[in-house]
Amino acid sequence: MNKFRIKALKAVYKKEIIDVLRDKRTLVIMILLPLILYPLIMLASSQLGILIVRSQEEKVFDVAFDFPPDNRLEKLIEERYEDYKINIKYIEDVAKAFEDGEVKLYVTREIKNSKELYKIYYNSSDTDASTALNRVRNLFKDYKTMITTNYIEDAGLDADFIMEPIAYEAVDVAEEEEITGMIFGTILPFILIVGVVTGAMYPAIDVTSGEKERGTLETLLTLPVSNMELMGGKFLAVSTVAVASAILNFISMVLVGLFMIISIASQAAGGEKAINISLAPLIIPFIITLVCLVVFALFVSAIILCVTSFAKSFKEANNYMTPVLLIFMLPAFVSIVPGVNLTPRTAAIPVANIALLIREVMALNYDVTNMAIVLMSNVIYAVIGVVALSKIYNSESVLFGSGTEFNLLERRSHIIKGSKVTLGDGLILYSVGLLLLIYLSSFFTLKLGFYGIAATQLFILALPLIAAFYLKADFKKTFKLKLPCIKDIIGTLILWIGTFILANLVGNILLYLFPENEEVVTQLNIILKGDNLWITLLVVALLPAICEELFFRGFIYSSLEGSVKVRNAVIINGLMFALYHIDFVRIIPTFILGAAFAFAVSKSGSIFLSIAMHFVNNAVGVLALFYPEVFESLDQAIMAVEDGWIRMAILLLLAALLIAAGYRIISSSSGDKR
Amino acid sequence: MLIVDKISKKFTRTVKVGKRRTKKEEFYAVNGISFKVEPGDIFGILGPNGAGKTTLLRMLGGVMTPTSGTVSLLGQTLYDNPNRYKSTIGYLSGNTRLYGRMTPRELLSIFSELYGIDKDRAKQRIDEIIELLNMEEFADDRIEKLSTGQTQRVSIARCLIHSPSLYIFDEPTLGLDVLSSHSIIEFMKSESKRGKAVVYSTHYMEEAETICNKIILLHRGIAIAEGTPDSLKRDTGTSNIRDAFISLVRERGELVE
Repeated sequence: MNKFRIKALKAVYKKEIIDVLRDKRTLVIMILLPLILYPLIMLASSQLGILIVRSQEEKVFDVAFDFPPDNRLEKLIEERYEDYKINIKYIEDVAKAFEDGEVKLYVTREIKNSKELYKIYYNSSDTDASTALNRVRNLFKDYKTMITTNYIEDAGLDADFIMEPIAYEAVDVAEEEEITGMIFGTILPFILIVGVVTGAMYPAIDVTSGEKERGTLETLLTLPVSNMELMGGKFLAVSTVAVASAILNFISMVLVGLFMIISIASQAAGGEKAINISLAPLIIPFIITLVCLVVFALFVSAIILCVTSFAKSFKEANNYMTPVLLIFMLPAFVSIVPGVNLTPRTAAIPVANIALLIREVMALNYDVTNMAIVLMSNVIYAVIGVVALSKIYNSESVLFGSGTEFNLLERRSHIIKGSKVTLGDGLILYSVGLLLLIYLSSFFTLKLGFYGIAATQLFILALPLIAAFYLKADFKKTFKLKLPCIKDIIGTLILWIGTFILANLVGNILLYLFPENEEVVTQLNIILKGDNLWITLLVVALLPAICEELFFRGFIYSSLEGSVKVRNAVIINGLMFALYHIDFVRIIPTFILGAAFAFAVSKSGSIFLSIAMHFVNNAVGVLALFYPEVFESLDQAIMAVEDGWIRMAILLLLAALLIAAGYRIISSSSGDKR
Repeated sequence: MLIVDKISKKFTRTVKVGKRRTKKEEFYAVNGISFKVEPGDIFGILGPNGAGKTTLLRMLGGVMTPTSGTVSLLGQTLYDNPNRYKSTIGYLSGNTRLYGRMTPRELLSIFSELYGIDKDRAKQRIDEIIELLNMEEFADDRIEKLSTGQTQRVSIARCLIHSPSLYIFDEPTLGLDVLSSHSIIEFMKSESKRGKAVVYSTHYMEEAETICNKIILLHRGIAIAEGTPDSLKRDTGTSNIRDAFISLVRERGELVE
């Protein structure tokens, strides 16, 4: 083997930078977009906003009354016409005038309990009507005050005092820079993350699939440079562009943001008072943000390079980038969601942690521990990305391969019957499934409550079935519809008990480390508990077992099979399964379970095993909800071992033994069936 | 100096079976080929398209790993120290294109850095090569703007930059005009006179006949004959290499008329 040489790395880096920087597309995305487009869009939209508000203010509205307004009301409107800007029309059939569009709103009067009751009818979806409503409301408020004052004065009392015997006001103690920071903080993270991702995207495509398409890759491989040096140089070059693009985006956004805030503030102050926003307190948070962005750019570059390495042309690479961009953008939205804060838990979630950190830092309330977690986790993710990258770039099939096919993007008539599900198809289905899950499941749960879970599951089932039908895939092979043999059943059962213990143990350790998740778990249990044991078993255990297994261990696993080694396929499948659950505490336990399911399916070739395992696993959870006393006594039996460490060690040992035994049994039986 | 010992490369390809079904099939692009190249040799690898020439040369160039067999150069196998191996060869093929956004001078300077040549020596060497290959007039233009012949000269310059002792050229004259291909052939001849070895592939058999001192004939991944041009002609009783090749293939009963 050759030693890793920094000199070679530097030379590769230099080559890539020269090459990338001479690509017009990269320069446009990197410089022109942030420096020109953002300011333009933001200024245009703010100008448009001001214009709309102004024109709204100038408008005069006709309002229909179904009664002749009394003198005092008429006089009030006349005297303060400039404030209300409404014309009153006395029309008998007000509803008709309203329907015909003659007026934006109408007012009726009736006498109820010897009091006059005015009703203002309007259509809330009409912007004009809302503006008119506000004016009519003000009118009636003033009218009411006028009448009240008259009554009080008639009784010979001090109207001013009685109308307002006490006074109160709210004082905003937020300093101006905090408000500034908050406004930045909600939009900046998203734009910066997207900026880094798009900034890394073009050079990444250029240095990987670009080299293949232009036929320069082989030239590069004739050089006495190792794969690690090559990939390292490429990685650093892409990161440099990504970081530069992040900084440019950042500067452009900050400048535009400052300009907007100053112009809004000066308008609010009516141009009388000079605005003084001090920038000094923002300097430190800006620097912290930049450091985090740099590390994040490294992570993004590694991930994107991993993905683009598989593509053999620009077009194909662009196809790959669409789901990747979505996956990065979704968690970036978190900064817009109110109520989600940076905690040790959220600080470990990739992408989302950067978004939250920037928001928090901009609002000037940063916590050093959380910041350290964000930085550390990003460093770890970046390292994982780089290691993955070096592994990928070592394989000849990636360098000379024909690339992955996306049959799902082909016309159905072009697809050959019985073709194998490709890796690309699996990736597409997974991203679609993930998106549907995020949007649909919250919608269903909102509308249907408990049964929303069932509706989501049916969607998860429909996806692979439709995809497999479209691809004309062999259902039996794709979904592994094969009966298992006795030996596999026994092995799987033992394996499951082992993984169940391990997953629960890990879950409990995580709960202990991040106690704030206790609440999440409790809430989840409330949602999951249906009215009746059997229905709950059906919805929470049986449906997910069938639907999720056909999705993950059927379609997705088949797409991985053949493209990657069995061991990697099992791990990747477990990871995909874990990410699909979108829950930090459950990530590791669900990974363990998912990988175990995938392993059982890969060795036995039977989906029924993992369906059964999945069902039993979820059913145990359901039973624990309905019969807590049984499980408490089990718990007590475990707790009989008082020392926490010993207890943990015993459970761990037990889990390891069971997993090893299950692994052995399944592996040994696989030979005669394959 | 170069010893190739029974190297093979296996690929999988998807073939249509019947109208609608496909299956994966393994096949050898190169199957158990051995030969030796000595300093001063111009070694020709001849065969029609799809004979396995490119795959064979890719393995010799260290760009592709053989499924089995070994390649050794000056007593060291390629896999002991790939970097040293690659530093002693100059590899050029239709797939080793150049970076269009750079100028020839920039490209040569980056490549000498990648070969670990120190700066001052590199600068001197680049000037020498530019003069040798008559590249002065386009040395500072972007490569994407050059003509095919000019680009090929830059490619040759790239192979020369680290003064290799073995050249591996895959169809270097393909698609070039008479003058450009003549200058490449002259280049190979002069390098072999200086004691360097050239392994080169082509499907222009007449061209090979005039310059090669050893030839290997490749057909469907297998070496069907090896020897000097004269010995090949003598053995088959033909007057040129093209006829020799056809007669050898016919002997194997594989010629489709």
